[in-house]
Amino acid sequence: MDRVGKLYKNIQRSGFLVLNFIVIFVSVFGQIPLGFGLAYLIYRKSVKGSGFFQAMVFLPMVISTIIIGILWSKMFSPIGVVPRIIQAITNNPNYSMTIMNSKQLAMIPIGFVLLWVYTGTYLIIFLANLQNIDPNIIEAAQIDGATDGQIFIKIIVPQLYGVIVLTSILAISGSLRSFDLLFTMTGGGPAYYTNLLAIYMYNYSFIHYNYGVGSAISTVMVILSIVLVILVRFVRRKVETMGA
Amino acid sequence: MSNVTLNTRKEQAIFNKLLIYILFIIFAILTLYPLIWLFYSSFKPILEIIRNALALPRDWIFSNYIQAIKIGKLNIYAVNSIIYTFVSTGLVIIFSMMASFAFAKIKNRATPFLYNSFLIGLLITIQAILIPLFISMTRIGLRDTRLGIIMIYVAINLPLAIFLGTEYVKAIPDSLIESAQIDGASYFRIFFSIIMPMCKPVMVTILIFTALACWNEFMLALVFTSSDSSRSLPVGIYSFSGPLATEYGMQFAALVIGMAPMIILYALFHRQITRGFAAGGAIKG
Repeated sequence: MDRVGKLYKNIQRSGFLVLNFIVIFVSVFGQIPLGFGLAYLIYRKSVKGSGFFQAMVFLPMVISTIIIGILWSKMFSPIGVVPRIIQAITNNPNYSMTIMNSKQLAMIPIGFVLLWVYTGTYLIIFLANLQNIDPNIIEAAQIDGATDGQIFIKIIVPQLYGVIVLTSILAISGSLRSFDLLFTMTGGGPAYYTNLLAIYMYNYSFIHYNYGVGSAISTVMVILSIVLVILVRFVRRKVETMGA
Repeated sequence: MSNVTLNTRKEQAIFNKLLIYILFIIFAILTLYPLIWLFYSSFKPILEIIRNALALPRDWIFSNYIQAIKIGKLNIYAVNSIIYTFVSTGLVIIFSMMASFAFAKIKNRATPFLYNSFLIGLLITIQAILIPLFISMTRIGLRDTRLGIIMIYVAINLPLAIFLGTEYVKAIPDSLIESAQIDGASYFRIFFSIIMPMCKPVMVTILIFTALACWNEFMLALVFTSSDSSRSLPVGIYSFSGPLATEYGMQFAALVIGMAPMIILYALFHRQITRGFAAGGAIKG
């Protein structure tokens, strides 16, 4: 209990729970709506060559996350592309990038990269589930004179309600254990402000060789993920009984 | 375009379509541009990278690659990564298909217990077992060996493979197996002549998941390897962000080497890969 107490104090001091919270927020309210929206547009055949666009959005998923982390930290660094674009837009050639060194702003690139990597997964999951919806229902609604907006809100969203909840929970549990991306993008800096639970555990166990505190952190992670697993089971059962 | 009044329905529809296209094209550019930028920057000398970040290289040089491989020892790490990926994926496919056959078709009282004990692996986060695993691997003497890494990779990838495989084998009708048994076929014969050929689609899914996971795995390789003979490519690439962080050209070359195989594979098999993720992605977690 002593270790857990120490851990709790450390967490309070570093304020790093904020980051965990932001990562979860981006996952649930960024990746999922974006993935859902894009999947819906592809599903309604709004674009030609949707196979190509789908492949593009999904592409980052097959690249190693550490490569993505290093690549984007270079994109946002002073030698990268992003500062040049900002220089061109603001017409200020002396602009230099300090985003990665600032406590508050370091979240912006991280959130962006999280979207860049994981939106594709949700696109694929939602598209697969959209294609399972009985097309007769939509056709019937169209015959009754429903507009596209009405069909979306009254038919599509309720049908996929369970999937939305499930993917949200998966997104939360996935972001709790994400390690590679932030480890390479920031290494926990500036001043350990961008530490995730997993990186925190790694630093304690394998940099400072303090297995006790490391184990305490991983115990916290296990408890959190067990809670989430129980939640997933519960939602799944609810959805299955709803469908039957 | 701003002076066009959108009063008719048709114009509105065209406008919407245009917006959607622009949205998708932005997404495509956002995905492709960083990769293309990385690719052509890896052929620039370091001064050019710093001065003209956006420009194409004036003359394309290969010395970044040669140096990255020499200094970063990427050739050794690449061999290690290939060994890990091939051996682990092969073992996972064989083990998981055998286990799936047994769990789905050979029923006895222990089956549900054994099956569920594998499925628990789906729920465990790797970080949760990292410290105990590290300590026990060190005690056994398997830390920093190729065998140790392969064992861990097989173990963490088996649960999902067994889950997908068992669900698939369950759908094969019992009558097929029974008629083979009447004809005198042994379990091994049934497995190799009936089950394996019928399970090709799910084997492809398992192959994709496991190969991607093993090739891209970083955290375990970072913790469990320390010598050149066992480090994998991601760890080698990561080492460029240490003291070599300002050697941008070399670092870019290393990144390209790390991601090129997966991008080529994706270009060839992206249909199977996305389908595999649609099947398995919803379960994982």
